[in-house]
Amino acid sequence: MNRLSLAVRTARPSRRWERRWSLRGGHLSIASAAAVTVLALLGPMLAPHDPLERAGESFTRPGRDFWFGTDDVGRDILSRVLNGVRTTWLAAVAVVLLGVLIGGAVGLVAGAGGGRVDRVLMAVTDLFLALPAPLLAIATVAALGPSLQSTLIALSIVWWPYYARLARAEVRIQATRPHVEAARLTGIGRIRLGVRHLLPGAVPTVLVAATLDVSVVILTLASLSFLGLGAPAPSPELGAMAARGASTVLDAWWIATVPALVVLVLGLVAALAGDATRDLVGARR
Amino acid sequence: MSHALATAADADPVAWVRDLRVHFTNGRRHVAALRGVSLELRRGEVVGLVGESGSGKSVLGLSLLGLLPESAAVAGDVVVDGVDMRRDTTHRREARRKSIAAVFQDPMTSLDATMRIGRQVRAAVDTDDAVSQALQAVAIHDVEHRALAFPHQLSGGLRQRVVIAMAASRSPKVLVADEPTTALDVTVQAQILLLLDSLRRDHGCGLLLITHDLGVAAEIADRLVVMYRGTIVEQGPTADVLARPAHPYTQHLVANRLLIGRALAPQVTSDDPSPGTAVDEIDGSCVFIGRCAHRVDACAVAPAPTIDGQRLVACHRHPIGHRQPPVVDEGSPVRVRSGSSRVAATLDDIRVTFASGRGRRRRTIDAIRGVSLELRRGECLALVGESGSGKTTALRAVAGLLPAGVMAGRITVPEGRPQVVFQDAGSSLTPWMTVGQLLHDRLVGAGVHRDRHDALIAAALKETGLPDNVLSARPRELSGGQRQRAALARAVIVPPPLLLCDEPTSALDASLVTNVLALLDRIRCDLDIATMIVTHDLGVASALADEVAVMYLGRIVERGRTEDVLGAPQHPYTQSLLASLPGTGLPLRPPSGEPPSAVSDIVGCAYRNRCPHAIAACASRVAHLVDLDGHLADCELVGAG
Repeated sequence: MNRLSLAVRTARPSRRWERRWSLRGGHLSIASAAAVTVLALLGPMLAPHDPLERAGESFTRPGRDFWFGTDDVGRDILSRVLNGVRTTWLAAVAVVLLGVLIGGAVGLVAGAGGGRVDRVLMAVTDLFLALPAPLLAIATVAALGPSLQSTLIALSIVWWPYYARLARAEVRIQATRPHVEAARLTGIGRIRLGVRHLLPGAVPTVLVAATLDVSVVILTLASLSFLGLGAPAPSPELGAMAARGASTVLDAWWIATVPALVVLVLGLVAALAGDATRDLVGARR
Repeated sequence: MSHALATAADADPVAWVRDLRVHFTNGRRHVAALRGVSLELRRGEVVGLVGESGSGKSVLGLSLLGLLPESAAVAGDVVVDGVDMRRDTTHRREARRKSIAAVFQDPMTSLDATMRIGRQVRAAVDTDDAVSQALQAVAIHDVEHRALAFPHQLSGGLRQRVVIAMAASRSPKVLVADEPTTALDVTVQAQILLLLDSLRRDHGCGLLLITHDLGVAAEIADRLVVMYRGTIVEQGPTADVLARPAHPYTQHLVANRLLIGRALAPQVTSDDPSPGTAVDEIDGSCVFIGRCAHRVDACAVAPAPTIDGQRLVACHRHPIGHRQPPVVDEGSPVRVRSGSSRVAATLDDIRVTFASGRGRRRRTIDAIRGVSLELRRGECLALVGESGSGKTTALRAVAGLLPAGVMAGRITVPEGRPQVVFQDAGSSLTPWMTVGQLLHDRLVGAGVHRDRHDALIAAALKETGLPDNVLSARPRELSGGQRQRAALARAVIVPPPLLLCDEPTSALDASLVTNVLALLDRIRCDLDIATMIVTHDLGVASALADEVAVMYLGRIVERGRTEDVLGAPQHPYTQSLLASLPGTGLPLRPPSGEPPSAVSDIVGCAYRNRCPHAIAACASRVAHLVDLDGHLADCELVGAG
């Protein structure tokens, strides 16, 4: 018994510490995602200069006056990045949120309805899944003119089908579980059955997929605007800023590097927060 | 091994554990699985290790095999055939190869699904010839054919025979069988028990039979070991323990055995042991203190086991010297009919056919081939039979849960919808909803006015014996018994004309079964509703039902009052079912073969292939029930057709 209790005592604290640490890490990532959201909302107020107006000498190195330097026309990069974070982060969240809402609704109706409803809705979903995202973005921009709106519309069109498929699969799995059969026997209506007994089962999976997706959308948005398919020239958009600075990266490294690093950080924060959500949801299940 | 060895049981144990303690750490929870267990197993001896889930019986089996997970903190000794299974890792492998073998509950998971049977058995034996010998030894016929099959192509009983063949092929000195028959039908269970018993006799191995079913242990065990929360609370020769149980827990188990013709015993202990408990919670006190009806002050200190000859008991109040026989009412159940004559449900020539595949691949299965029944208010009917007999399909048909278009015939439930208590009550409760929300949904579904909700919910909780605080609890926060009660509360909160129960006790621990059955019985009387219980357990049928209907391949082959059908069975199938019940003291006489799967186009009596009394006329029999004064049977030999 002695040896055992000793073994237990030594094993216990390290485990506990490990667990607490990993939970802390998870909470930290989610907190930083929240902080980024706040920053995105307040960003323009914190910006020291107007992002579109000339604030100083062109090509000023990062220093006391301009923390991240100025670009080729003398605009303050810090101010531009703060505004860019707002555009990119909020746009990414909006695309994902829209996708979850549309996709979740389509998935629930298809999964719970079954039969012909399911077949038709899933055929439509597959149709949208077949569209290649960049091509659709180019086509939309060509049709509506280059603007952030067009890019967002294009992204939203290709993004929701993933959630529709996911939600449908989860709803279908839930529908075969005994609790749904039991709920059906209580005589409650179809809508109540779907919303109370089916849908909550699909929420964790879709939520995890969605949070993990935010980083993908951020990168996709940045890539599209890097290609010139995002917001038009003067507006502060991270991808476009990086593209603009790319030609002078050897002389003025900060113009391209700062927005690129910010994209990296945003993507990382989103991905870590997604991981943390998955762990938390998994632990609860 | 020679027979001589088997008959002369060695005095020295071939395997033993001494003061074995096993702890698991699961997150922050710290669980003691074994709290100082000592046990000896001799050659040719069958030790029945009985306990409910969480009692640590499987952990003890795994310890003997040296298969405890790395995460387990272990202290104490485990020795098998002279090898220290805990520390001597070099000889452990050898011991596993030669001295000890295991049979687990689910043969599908212990066999490799991607490997043919022959190759799997070959891996356990030395030569190709030994493969067929091993398979023949467990009464598998048609060995060449079976050896080429994959596990999924065999029935559950055959799979378990293959596992036993592999385990027995090297004549191990110790065989650990962990719930070897739990997944099997009662008839197949009887066959496997006979097989295990013959192995013990032929090979002279020591058999540790781990089971939750006292009857199974009673059938073949020489010695019974009763475990509760990681402690052996009682141990002794089987007949002696069953006749004079000393520990309150054993008394409870023995008194609550469901025997044919015995009335339901009153509740002896409180509900719900939580499986496994944090060490700190009961460290020091008697493990049974939380549920014991006889506790005294001394119980705050764990009792030292009292040993008297071959008996051992760990209880302050029941030293073996003054043990008292348990109060068991052996009288036959007295049934009070409510006398109501309102019809609750009528089934008129129900036929259910499932089809799979299309075109030339289309196959049809006749799950139910003509069932007619009538149930009255306050009456309880039990549908019994092996798996595949169509009893669950019948229940689903009455509940209206079958997909459209598979059923022919007419089911009428005049006074509303029937409600169902599902086999696994826990999974029939929506996991993210609280019990309160679930009850509320039923009231909404039944169209009850909002003002009456609170009163009805309170009444339902009272009726099912649930505390108020479960209303805000989600199903996973409830214990097994509470989940069953919550599912029942939802089913009867608005009294249905007919309550359907699908194997209401099969997911419960033995010590809770009688509590739930008593509750079902009381609710039926209180609310004057008809109940239909689908069960494979004749004991459950005997305890609850006024009438029993025995199903075989989609037809009712015998029906009548419970006393008549179970007391004087007319159909050979019913007779075999009763002769398959373990632990009754009568020799096991299971029917040959396995329960067949339902097929189409059955001509003649469906049971004639397995029937010991089959005659030529059975092949052309047109199925119909012969009435013998209210006791109906479908057999050529009954009432001269």
